Amino acid sequence: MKYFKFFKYISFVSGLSFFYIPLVLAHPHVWVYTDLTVFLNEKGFDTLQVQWNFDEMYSTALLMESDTNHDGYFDKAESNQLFKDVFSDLKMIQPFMYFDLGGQRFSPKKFENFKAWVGEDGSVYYRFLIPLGGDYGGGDYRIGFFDPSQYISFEQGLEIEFISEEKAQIHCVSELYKEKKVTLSYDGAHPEIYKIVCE
Amino acid sequence: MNFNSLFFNVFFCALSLVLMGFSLSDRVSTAHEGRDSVHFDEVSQERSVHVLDIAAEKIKVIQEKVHRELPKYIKALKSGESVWQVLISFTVAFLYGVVHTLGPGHAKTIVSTYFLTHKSSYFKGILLGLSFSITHVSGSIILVFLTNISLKTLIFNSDTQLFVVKFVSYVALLVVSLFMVIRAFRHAFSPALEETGAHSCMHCAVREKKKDKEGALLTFSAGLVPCTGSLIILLYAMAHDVLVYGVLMVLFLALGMSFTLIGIGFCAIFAQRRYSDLLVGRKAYSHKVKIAIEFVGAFLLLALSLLFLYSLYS
Repeated sequence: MKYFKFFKYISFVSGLSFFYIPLVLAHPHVWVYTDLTVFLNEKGFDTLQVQWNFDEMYSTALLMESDTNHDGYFDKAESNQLFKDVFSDLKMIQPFMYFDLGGQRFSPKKFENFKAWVGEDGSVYYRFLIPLGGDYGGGDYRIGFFDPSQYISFEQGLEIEFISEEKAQIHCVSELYKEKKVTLSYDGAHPEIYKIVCE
Repeated sequence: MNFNSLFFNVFFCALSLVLMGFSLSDRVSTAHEGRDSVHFDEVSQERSVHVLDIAAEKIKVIQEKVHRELPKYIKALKSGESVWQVLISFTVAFLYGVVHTLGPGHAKTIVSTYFLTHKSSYFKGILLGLSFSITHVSGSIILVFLTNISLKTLIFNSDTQLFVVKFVSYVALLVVSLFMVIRAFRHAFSPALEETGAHSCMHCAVREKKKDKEGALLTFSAGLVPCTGSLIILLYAMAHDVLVYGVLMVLFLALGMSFTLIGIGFCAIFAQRRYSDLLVGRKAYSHKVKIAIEFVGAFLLLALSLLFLYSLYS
């Protein structure tokens, strides 16, 4: 009987802690596997290439909606329409992107060379360029992709790939870390972003 | 050893607060190194600080894995269903519902706050869990069958796309919680019969019956916002010509959601009974303590609904 009461206490305690764990868990419906490439030129940072690979279920739903001729591919017209739907409203897309370039916050306004395609596994890929448009040489930079509402889970690659032009004079390395200056709206958790150090 | 002693009550309450503190501490998201990378789990474990962080990350990873497995079972149904395939698909959908409901939203805070601050039966715990999940999933089924929903903009801009339905849901929550606050005030000004030792007041018997509807209205209001997870499953099933199975899978997902919510409800009901025994049973404070707890519950729910409305406009 004594042990039964003890287990009741244990269940009470675990029950109480159980309520509050879920408050701080991400709640994604869509997973986006994100890979970044930074192109470096003689001035430093030139362009950021973003590649998003959507999970299979969302990809299928997206294809149903955007592959209007149902051939299983995105032709130019379909790709243009997709770009228009997602990227024309900056208020919709900017909250997912975090740029702190040498202490200055940067909100991308231009998205170029957008390409959407269907991978061999049937998942949808987006690739686009963000011109950074400044002289970003040596220094510390922060770049990250996350959804403040945690509706989408941006799973970022461990490192950024850097591609240098011949004239590029800087060398950069990146590391994924938890940015405590940014708090996600729902639960007080912090997102992971890249710290880039260029010399 | 006396497990009912004050020492044990204080010790376990303190321990639960510490656990809650840990669970509310910082946590990390997981990096990916390719879709099917084994490293995925290792990274999340290496970077987690507390035991509960690891548990939380594990749940997130499990959710992603189940989400990744679901399409295989839906496609298997298309290629020729057997009884086993159907049963396995429904089980996976049920598990997805269980794990998915552990994420933010899904009325867990509302259910736990309500049950922690109101005396309820375990049967009511079941009813409220079912009430939320059925309403939540039904919204998705209605959206798929009756509207031409744009998923690509819904996902990237859910607040705008579902503004009206979210507004209605949060206002309904606000109205019910306001009603509960008013009820708490009325209760506070009712004459108490303290001399009996047990809690009792003039209108308590009447209000116990009325209170039954509040919980159901709360979970119904919270469930009005359609479940996007179900929506994606339905669209995926539609794309593979197995929509009927999709609807059934979504219903099993709803059962999974209910399972988690009922579990949380049961824990809260149990906890409410434990602290009622500890606090309310004391002769001199019984009426005041019960009124105070009722106020806390009503105001917490009011604050939550205001927070939801604020988040819609911020």
